[in-house]
Amino acid sequence: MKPLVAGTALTLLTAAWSPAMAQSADDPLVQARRAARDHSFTGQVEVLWRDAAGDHVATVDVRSANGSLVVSGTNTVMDARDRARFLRRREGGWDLLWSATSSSAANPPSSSKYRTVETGAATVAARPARVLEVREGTVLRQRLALDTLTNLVLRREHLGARGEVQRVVSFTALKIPDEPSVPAPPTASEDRAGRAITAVAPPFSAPPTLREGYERVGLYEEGGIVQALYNDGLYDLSVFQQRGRLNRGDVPASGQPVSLGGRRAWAYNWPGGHVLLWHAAGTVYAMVSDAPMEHLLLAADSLPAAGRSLSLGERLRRICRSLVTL
Amino acid sequence: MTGPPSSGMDGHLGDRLSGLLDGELGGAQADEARRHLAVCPSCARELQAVGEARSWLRHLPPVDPPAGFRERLLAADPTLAERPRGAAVVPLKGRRAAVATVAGLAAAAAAVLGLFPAPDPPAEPEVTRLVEAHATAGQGTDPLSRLVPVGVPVSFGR
Repeated sequence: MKPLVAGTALTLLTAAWSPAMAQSADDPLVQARRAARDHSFTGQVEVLWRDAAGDHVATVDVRSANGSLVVSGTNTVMDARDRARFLRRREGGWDLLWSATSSSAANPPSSSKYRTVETGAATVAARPARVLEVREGTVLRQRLALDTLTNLVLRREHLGARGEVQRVVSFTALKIPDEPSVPAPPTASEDRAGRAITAVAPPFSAPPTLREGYERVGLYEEGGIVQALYNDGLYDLSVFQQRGRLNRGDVPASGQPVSLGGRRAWAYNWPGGHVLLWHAAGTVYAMVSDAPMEHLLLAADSLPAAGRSLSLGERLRRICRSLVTL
Repeated sequence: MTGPPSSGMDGHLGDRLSGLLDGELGGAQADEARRHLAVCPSCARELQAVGEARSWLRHLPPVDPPAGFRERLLAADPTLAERPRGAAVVPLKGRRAAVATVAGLAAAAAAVLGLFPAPDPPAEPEVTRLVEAHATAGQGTDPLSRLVPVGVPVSFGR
């Protein structure tokens, strides 16, 4: 618990509220995304998160140059300059998880749902930073420390509905090299990237919008699994769908049972957010997001098949429809 | 025959049930049919079943014919194209038979597929892979915040 509590030290350095910032190129969230692409750096990043088993801490090395980023932990992840994304596992070999040709639509502006305000200053990894808070209504969702010189995100805290720190990604060391070495993408990889599709056939569904303001920005398919990618201006949210049913014994053991519209679902935490797993109408759903769990529950509830089983009338209607279309 | 007063050859209403539901029976015939229904549980049950089947069919959403359907139909019977639009090409009794056939097929399919559906095959979602696919596909946060968690493998247990 200690590291997460220590993460709240940033609040001690906050100052008075300033007016909300307009969403534009001046938006600090946009600046932070751009800075991670534009600046070369090396350093160490600490990841803190909690799940049912307790609090966890891990450290990874990061290196970025010429638009390519490499994260080296137990896994190695690479965001190549051409936007292809690779993963190298412990056992060796690279997987291509995101193809440079798989595009997604523009995200909605964060200002339609969130308010970002600069609240003060801090020092992170021995570098001066400005502190920003991102609020959804009156609820504080994230607290960020952006490097004063480069706008890099030096620290990002995700907070729960009661203000408690749930996850932290924070530099513990950062260096801006004079002559950065550019990471080379792997010469060979196994293609596991989903292909972009434009529509899904029943029983799958991918509504253009979900509750909580999530808009669909991408739709992909790989190996019989459909991924609908959504964004609400701040968080990404994926809905994975595959045919079949969930046997209780086959559900990953670390899940916490939750109710989803009267249907049983399982919730998981991981270093990057939450997972929600459930089964409805012959389809297994897995929702993955860095958003708060309450967002996942509400977004899941707005999916057509969530939370209800087919009535006898609905079954008959579908059967008659299939007969007519024979 | 000792049953209730009959109006059909077998003593029951038969096709007149559809006529009654469609309002196609004349006043006297309709009154006679209603009197028969009042004393014949068999016809009353059949009237209810036919009414429910028609109700299900009526609530089906509009369905466009499959691509090429019209062309295939005309190829099978070129005289159809010469008939005036909206002309009745199927005798009334035949149309009722067609509706009854579809309703029967729907009921049979319901019994076989809907009421006793085959169980879905079990699925074991690879949550770790899904998490990786999500984290590498997203665009919302800066790449550092998005990718750093993937560098830390996590087991969801099995």
